[in-house]
Amino acid sequence: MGYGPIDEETFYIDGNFGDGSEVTGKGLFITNEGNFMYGNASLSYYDPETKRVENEVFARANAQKLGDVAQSMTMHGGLGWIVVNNSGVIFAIDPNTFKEVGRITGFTSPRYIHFLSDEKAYVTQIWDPRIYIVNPKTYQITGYVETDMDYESGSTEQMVQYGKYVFTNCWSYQNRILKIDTETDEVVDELVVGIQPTSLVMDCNNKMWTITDGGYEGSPYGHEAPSLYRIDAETFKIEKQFKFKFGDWPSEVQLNGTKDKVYWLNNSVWCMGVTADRVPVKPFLEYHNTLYYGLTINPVNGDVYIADAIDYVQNGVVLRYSAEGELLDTFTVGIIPGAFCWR
Amino acid sequence: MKKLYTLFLITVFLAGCNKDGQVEIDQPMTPQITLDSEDGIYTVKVGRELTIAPTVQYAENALFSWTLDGKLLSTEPTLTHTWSEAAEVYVMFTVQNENGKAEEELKVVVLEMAPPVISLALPSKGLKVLQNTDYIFTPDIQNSDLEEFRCEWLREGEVVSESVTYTFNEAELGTYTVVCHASNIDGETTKEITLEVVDELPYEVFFHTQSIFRTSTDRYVYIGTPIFLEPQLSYFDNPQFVWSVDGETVPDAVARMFRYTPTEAGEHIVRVTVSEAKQQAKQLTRNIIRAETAFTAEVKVTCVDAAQEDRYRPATGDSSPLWNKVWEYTPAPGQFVGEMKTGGFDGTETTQEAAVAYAEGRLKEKIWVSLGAFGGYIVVGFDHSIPKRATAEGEYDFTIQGNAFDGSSEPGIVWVMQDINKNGEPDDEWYELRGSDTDKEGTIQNYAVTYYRPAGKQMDVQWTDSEGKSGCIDYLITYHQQDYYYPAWIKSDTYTLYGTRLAPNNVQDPTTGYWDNQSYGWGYVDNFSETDNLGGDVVDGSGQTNGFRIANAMYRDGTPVDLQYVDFIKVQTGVQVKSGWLGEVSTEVFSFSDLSVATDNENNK
Repeated sequence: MGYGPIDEETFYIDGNFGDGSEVTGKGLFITNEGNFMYGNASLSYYDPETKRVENEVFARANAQKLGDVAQSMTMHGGLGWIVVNNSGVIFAIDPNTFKEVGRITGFTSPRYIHFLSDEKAYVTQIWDPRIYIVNPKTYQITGYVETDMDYESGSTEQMVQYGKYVFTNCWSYQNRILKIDTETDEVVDELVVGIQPTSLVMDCNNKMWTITDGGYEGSPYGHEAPSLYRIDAETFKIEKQFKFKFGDWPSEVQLNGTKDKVYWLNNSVWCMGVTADRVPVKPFLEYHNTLYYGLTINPVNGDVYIADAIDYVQNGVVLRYSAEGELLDTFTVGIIPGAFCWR
Repeated sequence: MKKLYTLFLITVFLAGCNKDGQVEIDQPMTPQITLDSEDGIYTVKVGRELTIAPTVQYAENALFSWTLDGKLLSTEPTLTHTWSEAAEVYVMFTVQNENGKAEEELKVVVLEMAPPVISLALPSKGLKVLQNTDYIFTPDIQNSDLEEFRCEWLREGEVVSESVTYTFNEAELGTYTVVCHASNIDGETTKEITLEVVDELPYEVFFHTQSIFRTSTDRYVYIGTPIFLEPQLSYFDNPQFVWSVDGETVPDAVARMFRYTPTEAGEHIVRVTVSEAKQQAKQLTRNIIRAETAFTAEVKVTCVDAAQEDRYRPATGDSSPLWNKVWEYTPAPGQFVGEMKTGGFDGTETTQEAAVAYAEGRLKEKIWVSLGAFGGYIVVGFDHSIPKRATAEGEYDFTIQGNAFDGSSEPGIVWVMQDINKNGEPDDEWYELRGSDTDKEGTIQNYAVTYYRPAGKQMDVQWTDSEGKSGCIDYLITYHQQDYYYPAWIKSDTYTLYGTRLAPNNVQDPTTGYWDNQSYGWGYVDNFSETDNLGGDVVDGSGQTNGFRIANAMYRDGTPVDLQYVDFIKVQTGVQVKSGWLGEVSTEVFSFSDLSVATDNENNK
């Protein structure tokens, strides 16, 4: 992008995406965080069939920049919901035209959105102890789930649901998974894991997976060897802890479409079955002086997409591999590609 | 026993996702492997034997195989093997009976033997010590954390210390050898140190070159223009200076810094004689006079019969606003030097030419080039002279792009040069650009740091400075794992960088542990200045720039120098400080741009 006003362009993504209630694996959004405080976040769109990528689609479709640090994107109700962290906004876009259809504002530092219904969703925050309750229909904040954290180190991140309970990992300067009753909007339980659990998914056996980064050297909150955890959603107890080496920096737990394989980043890309007793000795994809930053699996055909932030300055690159590890495509996206969203 | 089988099979089926299928209670059992390593990873040193002994259930009449890359290593239930090279290998263990087979892939990490590595920074010209004086040696020893580590010092075969530290003191003049001997389970290492015991320290006087890759100390100056000369000294406590030009002593020139304004074109030899006040000439006996201790050094100053206007290279319609050549890239050691993960090095940068090519390749893409710790520098040129035009407040002549943001300023000091001798090369006179901290307490001009190549991989880089202090550039294994932070293209085991050092300006937040590399007032690269930071609103994510005025160029004594233009720019890391786990503070540069040519269109390229 250059300087000055942005020209508005017309897009129409024509494809067989059904009614939007199910993921087809035929379209992939990439949220590029951009540099903190630079306001250069962007949205990219990739068509796996034609291997065509369009960058800056939000800015080009709406003649306005996406904002500062695009954190995540979620599909719901036929719309794409983009959480722009440091701009404190969630944009709702038409996934075919990329045009904004609405926005929710009033957040301090939103991270992820989880839909409970068409009229209720939770929005997690960093450096804010509250989880915001929003009405996606009216684009209004309607309330808060209060926690016992404070504004300096409050942190809630990704969310998964089991029955009427939503679970969220508390990452920054935290070490917990919270359990929230969605009927009362109250935290009803918590589970202590290692230092800084970074992500949270739910597998086919209703087991949650989180991975801690272990903190960092010099952190007053501590620095320890990180771990991958399998947690039973029903009992809310740790079933299995897979320990990594001290100094490792794992992240990005993801599942395949059938939710029976768990993937994560730890320099290399790793993969194992959800019932495994130990981490495989050989990675799915070897580390080659790359800065893997984001990861997703095509829920339909199992292709693995890895975002390489390169050096956090240049435009990042996404590498697409088959489920067997064969490189299928490489394409350039925006600065610091961090998260993916399938439609 | 059958009950146990049933329980096992049910467990296996319940644990999987596929809940279809029937449980055959009487089904014969396939082998079950349990490795004797929790994570399936085995570590062994080169040349040492490794035995892997898994437990196998239902192994009766089973066939065993151990394969590596498809080659059979063994058909025994346990594997005993010795590797001759360091490597990471994957071994497949297969057990098969008539009912089926089980497989486990395991990893063997074969490590090099790791005997101790002794690193002791020594002066490049040999170690001379005073008689009757304690000298305490404390080498850095790698792999001292391995089992059976021992260290001892020997002198003439006798053990004189059984610890890492040794204190040497000798009354008799002469040359001595001491030996540091360290051993651990993997081997032993010996380092011999030769000391010369002297009654007088090896005083030294010299002029440093304008660049570590140049051998000439020659200087160039326009006729009638002053030049400032200042020798480097070693060991002097109370030096006295006498300056002469072309053999004629200059009256009243008794300071270390000499301002010389040649009035005749041609070559002039400027000599400095430095004597130690403690060692003045003395009558030892009626018949013997001990002369004073005095050393000399000289430098050739070529006075060019021209004015700066004669050398001006005006921009043309084809001129680029951007730098067009990297002349030298000499970083101090640092965590991004030689870094192959995010630093863009590929391991082939073992010559100065390759290092320059690396820097040029990065700058062409407007990607950062790190200058490392204090003194690291880069020199660039342009296809024309950058004119001095900025006069009003807020106007600048050229910009340099860095990556500062609020809380992350890593100041680089800017130097400029005109091509006085018209040879097209930056071998003329550097002038520092004045900044906000130039006259502040804590700023040291003519500061020098000597860096020492580590003896082994993944070690800190030691340094000593002209203030008598020492320290190290920390090896940050968590973040940057290249073997050395010392530039591979510096062939000598030590190198010294000269420049102006600012006082540090970093603090650690006691709550978060984050480091705040606070900004400086103005006049520095990679600095989130409130005054001359011209970035901030740019949207391409890498546009932080600082603006600079040629009018701020100054002589070594701080007085302004009237430069109408400049041909070369040097940026040099201006602090020697580290921010805990973030490591050393190091200036990063992305681009250099002449504002007299730059336009909005050019900016958008």
